Amino acid sequence: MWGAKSDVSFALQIVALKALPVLILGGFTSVPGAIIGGLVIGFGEKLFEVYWGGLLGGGVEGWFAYVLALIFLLFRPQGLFGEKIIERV
Amino acid sequence: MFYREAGQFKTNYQADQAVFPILQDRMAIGAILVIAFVAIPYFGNDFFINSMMIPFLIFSLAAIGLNILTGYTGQISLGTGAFMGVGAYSCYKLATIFPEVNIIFLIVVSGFFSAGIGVIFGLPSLRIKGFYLVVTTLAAQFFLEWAFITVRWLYNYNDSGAIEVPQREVMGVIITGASATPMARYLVVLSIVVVMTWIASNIIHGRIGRSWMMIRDMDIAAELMGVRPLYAKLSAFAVSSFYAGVAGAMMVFLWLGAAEVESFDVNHSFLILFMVVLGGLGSLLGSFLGAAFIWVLPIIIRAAPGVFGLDISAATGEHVNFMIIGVLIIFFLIVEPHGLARLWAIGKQKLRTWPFPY
Repeated sequence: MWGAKSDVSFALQIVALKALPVLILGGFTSVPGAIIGGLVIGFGEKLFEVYWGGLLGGGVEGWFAYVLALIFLLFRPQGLFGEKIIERV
Repeated sequence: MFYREAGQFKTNYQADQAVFPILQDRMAIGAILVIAFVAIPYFGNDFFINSMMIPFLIFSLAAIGLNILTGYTGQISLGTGAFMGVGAYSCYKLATIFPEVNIIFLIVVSGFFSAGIGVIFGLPSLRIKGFYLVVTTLAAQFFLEWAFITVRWLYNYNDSGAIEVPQREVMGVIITGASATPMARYLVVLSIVVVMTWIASNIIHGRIGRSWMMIRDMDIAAELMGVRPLYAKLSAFAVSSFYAGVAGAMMVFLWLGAAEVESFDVNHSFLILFMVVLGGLGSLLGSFLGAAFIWVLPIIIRAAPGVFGLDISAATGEHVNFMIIGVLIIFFLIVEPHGLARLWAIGKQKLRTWPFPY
């Protein structure tokens, strides 16, 4: 689908990398989480680009998803709907 | 038969702790150094030095940096390309702000800027680990790539967005810029790589390296035994980014001559990661073997049809090249998941007991 939107090339692999922040946002063990996470990341990066991107010089779409995932990892590592992570030694 | 340590007795602790305890190993290292410093500049042509040896050494240094982080400390990173970019851009800024300072000094100093950025992006590793860390280092990668475009100060507000290496000389010999000879650049790269490999080997065999390996093997147990994760992890990030930064500065100043953001994209990070995984995680020798495999082998395969007199088009040759390299990577990872360095170690062990392996 992304290929239909822009065009098909080796650069498409970057899209596969973007699935990682979506998973982290939604939570690793949750299917609805993946859907919600995808929507949040997709809308979020476009809105951020349109409304605040100009302040930072544009092109913020590239890293917005990852920085959002980074913030989530710091404060809620299991994501929105994931199971609590339990550490065993 | 010749590779035996029989009869080599150690009479003091220094000899027992030596990095190369076996005489034959020391002789081999000496021979390699002599070949690298004397034979290759003397006999090698410009193509061999410029497009094989210089990039091979630079990628080896970057792979050592990533190996310190991923192989020895167990923190997976996909941000190596961006850290190399930090080194390159800071070296460019330093070279244009202080034109009279020795360029080799500036290349090494730019590693410290890279180390600082690496520590900042290494901070999340204190809370998260493993697969999650990949995402934070990807954040570093994409954020820094964006910064290299947007912060126009980094490339002195020129219109192309690329950094052009100015001409600099050290002791009367031109070593950077368009008119530097490949031999001069090769010797500078080789000297920096040899010294930094030696330093890395000493760090890894010392107290800091041991604490990294404890963190890698079991971080909670290491913490209980008195290793502070804050210092161990952040020092690994700092040293790793330092090596990546120096490699990046050398890549632009002593190999490419000019660079823009595309030189440091995420594919570059993957390339270095492949080198480390293929060469062997947690092995300095593996970094060199991996860099040789990923960088030198394709060039040899590309030149092979010409040698055998086959006439195939460049595009076909390139595709065949991709296929051969891909198959070889899969083959080696199936045969030896611990990388080429482990294959070498097994071969050495076999050689020691040959011809009576019982």
